Amino acid sequence: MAPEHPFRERVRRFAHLARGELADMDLVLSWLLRWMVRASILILLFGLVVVAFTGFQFPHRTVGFNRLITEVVELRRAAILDLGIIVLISVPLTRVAVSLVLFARRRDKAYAVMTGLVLAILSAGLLLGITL
Amino acid sequence: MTLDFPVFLTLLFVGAFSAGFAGSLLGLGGGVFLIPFLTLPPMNVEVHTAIGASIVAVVATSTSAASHYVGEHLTNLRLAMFLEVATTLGAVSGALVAALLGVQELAIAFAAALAYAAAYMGLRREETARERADATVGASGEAPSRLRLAGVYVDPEDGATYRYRVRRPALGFGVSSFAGMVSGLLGIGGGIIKVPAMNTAMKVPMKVAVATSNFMIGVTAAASAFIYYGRGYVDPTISTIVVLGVFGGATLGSQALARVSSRTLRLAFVPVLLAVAVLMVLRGLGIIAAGA
Repeated sequence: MAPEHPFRERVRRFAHLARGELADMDLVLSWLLRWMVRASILILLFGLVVVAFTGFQFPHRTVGFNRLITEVVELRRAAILDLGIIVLISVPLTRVAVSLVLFARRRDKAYAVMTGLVLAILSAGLLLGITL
Repeated sequence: MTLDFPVFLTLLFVGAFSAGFAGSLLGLGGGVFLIPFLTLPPMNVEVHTAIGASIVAVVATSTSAASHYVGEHLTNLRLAMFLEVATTLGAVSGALVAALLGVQELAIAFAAALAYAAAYMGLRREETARERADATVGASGEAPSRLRLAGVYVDPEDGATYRYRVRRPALGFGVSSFAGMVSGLLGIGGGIIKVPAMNTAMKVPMKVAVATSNFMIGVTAAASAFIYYGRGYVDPTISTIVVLGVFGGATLGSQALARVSSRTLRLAFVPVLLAVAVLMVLRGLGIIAAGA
């Protein structure tokens, strides 16, 4: 294994010392955000390749929340771009959901409630997006 | 003037890449340059569609930056969660209001945001080590607040450890809800409002303010992105090209950042931002018409 960058190593050791449990929460969230964004970028690139191989028919209307799942299963090219966009804008939603679990596991009641509130507001935005 | 579609897509990618690159070099985020580029001739993208594409790109770039900062323990997670209640509420209401507004109102509101961004860049200074140390004075000997927002970080510049307290949480909460609303309304991240508010009003060290703001922007932008998607304002093709362009440009910009003098660069961009603000006013007044 490659030796860790000395600065990062210091940060990590120090953060564990000073803030205890929140330091490993940092690392979990960092990992989650990085890989989910990468995944959505890959889906978008794949979607463009599919569009290119199927005669450059560029979609201009979204599939919509209601039909997204069925169209993805049918591998419709428009749906792949939509899927990448939905995965991308769901990354923060997932991050908040994971934070809720992490705060709850530390019995940090005040912050678990606050995180739950943010999750509720995000879900309201999602529901408004579906119904409007 | 209408562009051929392949020409349009090529220009779209190049423009989005440049907007992401410039935004990350200047610390403005991609949206500030992206929306004028998309809505002004020759691109002439409808304003709501431009905001929809921009808000999705903002999720990508801010989340990517946030994953870096949070891994370096610069982000104050409690402060972020606390202020996110305000920014997400603001963003949802902003996105709902945007649907009611016409192209003119949105273009002129965006011009105001650009003028503000120009002032922000002209006045912003680098934080000195002295100021970092001053911010930590009085960190001990006070009763811990109920919000437990106080934090500690290792500065990447001087390697020293700084403990800080967070002042005036109520004021920060109010400013953050406004920042969220601007974000939902105009499709920008809103960091140019939150970072100075956290740094000057709440006395949060600059690097922590930038990291925490970036962390919040993803959630704020996602709250309104769902509404823009549901409303049909997210054009899959335009948004995909814009996301890939801005993301690529911002990634390159963050690597170039270490090698340029940011102060000179920021001052050089002040007149550019003001000129774009004037163009957006002209667009709003219909003097520059779309599709002409």
